Amino acid sequence: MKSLAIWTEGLVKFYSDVKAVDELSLSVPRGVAYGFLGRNGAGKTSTIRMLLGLTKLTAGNGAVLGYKVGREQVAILERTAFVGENKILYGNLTARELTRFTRGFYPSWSDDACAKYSRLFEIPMDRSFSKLSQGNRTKTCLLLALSQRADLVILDEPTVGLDPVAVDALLRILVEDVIGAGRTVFISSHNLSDVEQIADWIGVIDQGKLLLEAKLDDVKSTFRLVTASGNGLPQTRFADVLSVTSVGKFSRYLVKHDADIFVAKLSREGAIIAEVSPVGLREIFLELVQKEDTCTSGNAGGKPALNSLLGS
Amino acid sequence: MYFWKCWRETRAQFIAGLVVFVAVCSFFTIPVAKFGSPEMMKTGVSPSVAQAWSSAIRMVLGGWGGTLILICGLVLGSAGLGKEFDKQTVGFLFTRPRRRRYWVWVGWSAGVFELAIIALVGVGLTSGLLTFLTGHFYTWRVLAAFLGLTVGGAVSYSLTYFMAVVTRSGLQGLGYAMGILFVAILVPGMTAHFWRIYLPSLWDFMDTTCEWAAAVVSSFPFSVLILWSIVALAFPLAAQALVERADV
Amino acid sequence: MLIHVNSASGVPAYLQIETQVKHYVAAGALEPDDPMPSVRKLAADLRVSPNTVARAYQDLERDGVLRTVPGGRTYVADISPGLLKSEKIRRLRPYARQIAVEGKQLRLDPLEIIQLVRQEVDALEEVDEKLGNLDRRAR
Repeated sequence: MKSLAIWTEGLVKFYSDVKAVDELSLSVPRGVAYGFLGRNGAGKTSTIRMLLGLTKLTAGNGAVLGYKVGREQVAILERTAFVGENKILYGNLTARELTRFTRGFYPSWSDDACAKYSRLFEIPMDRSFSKLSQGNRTKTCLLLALSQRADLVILDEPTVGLDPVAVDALLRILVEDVIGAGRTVFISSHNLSDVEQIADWIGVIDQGKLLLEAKLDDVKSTFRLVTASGNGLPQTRFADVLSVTSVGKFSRYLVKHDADIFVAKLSREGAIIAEVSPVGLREIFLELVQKEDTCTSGNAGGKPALNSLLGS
Repeated sequence: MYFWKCWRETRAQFIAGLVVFVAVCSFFTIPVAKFGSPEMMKTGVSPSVAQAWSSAIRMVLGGWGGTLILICGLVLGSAGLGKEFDKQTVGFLFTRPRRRRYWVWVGWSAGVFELAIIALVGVGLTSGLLTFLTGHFYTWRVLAAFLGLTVGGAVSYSLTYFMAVVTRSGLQGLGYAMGILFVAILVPGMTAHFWRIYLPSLWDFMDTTCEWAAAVVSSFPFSVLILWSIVALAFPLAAQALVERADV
Repeated sequence: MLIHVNSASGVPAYLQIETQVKHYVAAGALEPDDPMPSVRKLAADLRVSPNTVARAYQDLERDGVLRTVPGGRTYVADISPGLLKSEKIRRLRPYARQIAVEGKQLRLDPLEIIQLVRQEVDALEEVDEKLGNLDRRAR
């Protein structure tokens, strides 16, 4: 666990009787960019808030950079840079005053980095925070976090209000100065394209549950979308098939790996294989998250409603 | 750092409080020292040195100053840690690497520090003017007035600070604190007036310290000073207990 | 050197980098001993994770396309004439299989599949020829 930037096991969070996070087990290696993906309200922010000690865990365990969540919170915070979801700082302080306030908390803070990033982001340093545009507010939050030179950078929706040029500048800094220096980036987002650009690892969360955690390259090399047509095609998820969608006699499968074996099996059963195609993050995400309702907990036994759809 | 930030964010209120306090002290001290208390004014006798000191400290510092420092405490308390919750900056603050109790106590002490400065300047100005007019200086009277004002202000400040944390809102905290303070001053006044039951009263406390400062009648009211100091400290302690368990 | 990574495609970014570098070498746009940018530099230029670039470089090195000198700098390798033909074929076989499988699935004629590969090889040679012409004109 020491070798992991973030580790959780069976993490659970209840808000009164609403289950926000459900038995979440994450493993984020050090030195990578990790994309934590999910829809709004999927439990991303709750997970981060627990890791940072902003809210208590209902159950489970966690460690950040080898320090135990809930017990060694100050040690975690000292080594972690964080940009939260709301991006609100003290309204009557200027960006310059905010950097002066923040730097003293971190021994690893770099004034050079701060000067460089404020130039790159073109932040008006002497205007009070409340008078800044949404984009400049986000940039100011990023400036404070990045200048910290922390071992772990946790960004919750970091591209809110940023124009494409600023997003590009952020990605460059993350790639060159953070991951390039062996530090870890954990980005929570529903903006898939930014994450897909730099992520080494992805974790997909929905309704508090982790649906997938894998290396993005592996996902792209082994995941295949298989479209087949025929009667009596399997309609439930099983082993390597993560999701099934059916329209008429056509069925589409998201296959985790060994797509050629799966295809051969289907062919042997008389199906006509229409297409086997590689999948982008967007498609994987949509397949995983959207289909969750139509085909839940579909292991061998259940007869899902889709069969009747097929019959009609 | 957090101390600096608290100072930076409340310096406008602090300066306003200071200016009003200084204005009141410089405006009222000279006539009161010259003509004494209203009773003496009626008789037309000019007050002695001791009388000039006692009436000035009681009326200017005890009366006007006491009211003002209570108001300063309310205003500064509502700008304390509780305001971070409704301004939604608390998520940022609590992810800086310090224990929660650090924020509670540093934030609290910044306000007490400001109140002490206001009291110090006010008491210093009044006693300075009195020394100039009478050629005398009463060290213990000045010290007692300063302690009384600071602790009295700290009580109203700590109460507001705590209520703002409880309600997670500076403004709501201010409202509740004003209500509580009003009752806390009114009730002991009424019980004493109608039933001769003497409850500890913040108002009396500040009056007592200043009264003691005015005329050395009895021993210095250490017990009340300690009592009210404990009250002032109990609020941030309670706030700490709350904040350490708070979900942000 | 200009490399483009389309992160939205289903092809892993490290594979895209590998393919492009191989293509540049095959087309003669990169020559032996040409220096390659550092992993961090290329990653920063492409806005992809340095781990991705590192993986591409590792694979390319293993395939004999790049070489890293002590000190960490990376150069385009001499195309080793010593590489055994059987080894070359071993490396290419998975791609051939992929083409065969996909072609079969799309119900293409075996001849059509072979022709497709033929066309790609021709296209590369055409590039070579054009480059040669340019060279001659330049002289």
